[in-house]
Amino acid sequence: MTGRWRFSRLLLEQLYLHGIRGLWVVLLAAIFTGQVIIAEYAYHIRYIMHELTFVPPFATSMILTQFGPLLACMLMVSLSGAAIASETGLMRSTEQWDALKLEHISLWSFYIWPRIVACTCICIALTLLNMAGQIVSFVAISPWELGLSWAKVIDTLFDMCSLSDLIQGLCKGAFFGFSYSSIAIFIGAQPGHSSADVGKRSTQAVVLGIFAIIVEDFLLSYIFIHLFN
Amino acid sequence: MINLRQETIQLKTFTLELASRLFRPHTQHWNMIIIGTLRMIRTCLVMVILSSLFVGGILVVVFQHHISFFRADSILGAFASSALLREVGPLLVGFLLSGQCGAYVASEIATMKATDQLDTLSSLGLSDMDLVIVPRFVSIFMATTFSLMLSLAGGIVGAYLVAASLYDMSIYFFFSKFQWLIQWSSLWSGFYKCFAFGSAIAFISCYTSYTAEKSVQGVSTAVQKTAIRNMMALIILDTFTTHTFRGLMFVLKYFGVLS
Repeated sequence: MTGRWRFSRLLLEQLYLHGIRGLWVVLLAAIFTGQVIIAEYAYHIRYIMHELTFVPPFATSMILTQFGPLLACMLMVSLSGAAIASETGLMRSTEQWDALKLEHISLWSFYIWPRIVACTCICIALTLLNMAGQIVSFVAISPWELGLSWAKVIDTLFDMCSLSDLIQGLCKGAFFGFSYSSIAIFIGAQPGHSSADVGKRSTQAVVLGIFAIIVEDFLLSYIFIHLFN
Repeated sequence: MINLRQETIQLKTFTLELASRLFRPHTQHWNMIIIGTLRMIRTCLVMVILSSLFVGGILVVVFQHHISFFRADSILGAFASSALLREVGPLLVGFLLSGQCGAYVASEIATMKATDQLDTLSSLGLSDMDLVIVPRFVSIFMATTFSLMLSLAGGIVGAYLVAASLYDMSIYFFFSKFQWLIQWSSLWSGFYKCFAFGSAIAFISCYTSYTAEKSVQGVSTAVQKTAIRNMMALIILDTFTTHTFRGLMFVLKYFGVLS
């Protein structure tokens, strides 16, 4: 099997493994968070502008640039970040990494890159799914929450958004996916052999992954707002 | 189907046992609870403060962009702080704490189980529930609730620092619309969420690790399960607490308790 084929097969395996796991979790979370976003926006906009027609476009913009990538990727940190860290830790402690090195198999192309590329692609896809789920969820309840008809809500939905908002969200998803998977592999590969170490590594991977996402979100938000506006 | 049935029975047994022991006077365990709480707060303090500063910063950067459409910069501080108190602060920092405190304790208890330490306690005639689970449950609950409340204050400080450094906003200008937009109910809503999230993280972490498999694989599975269950619980609870708090406010206003 050539290197390129082997990489593609490993990549597809990882995409399936982590993507299918995350699909239902992210979709379920999107349904709940969409409702909360509309409720909170309605509270604030009612107070500040006394005009609820501004709520759908504000909420859509916030979902595309912030909540879509942020929540989907945070969920993926606990799903696949912890799994990658513990898998790497177990491989390291049972000397499977050393065995691969002895066989002259590149760890980067056999183990590290397939996971990082898969997590990056999955985060982009799940960000898109989360955005769609949240928007559908808040549109579905807006007649009760805002007293506006579905036609009116759908009509004003993208009034404050542009394609750049969607691109911002997807870029954030890609950055988040790349960073948490890299952190998980790095932490998992640290030396340590006991069962307590495996648990600690998974915990560290989750915590540092989430923290990295929060910091990156701040920096990327600032950069993108100045870049696109 | 069998797994679901087993899980339901395990959950019921654990909940009843925890509830029955939680409200018994365990005066001899107070030192364990206090030490555990302080240790957990110390573990997560730096991360909580740093992440809450950044969460406040994110809200200011994003809301400044939105508010600039309406030239209403004076409400930026109050708008960002209100969103932080009511919603975003407890949720995002709760995610971090579900990993920091929840998964940390889950890995500790699951490791004790994998290395037969819990069985040793039982063979000595001691209750693992009394000595390990209940003190940790109370410790996580107190540590996460305290940390979440601290994160609310940290978030407002972070929001002000970003507003001052990036948008040249004075402290007076930042806080000028606080009294107008932020009501006591916003603060109580935040505290209510902190309390609910703290309870959920404590319960899920203890339950998942106590019912983990006795193996190295079991430890890592318990940590992963704890992290994802905690996050899903926080998201579902977030919706639940938002709606129940709104209902409560409506009832209180209806009966004239609140104006």
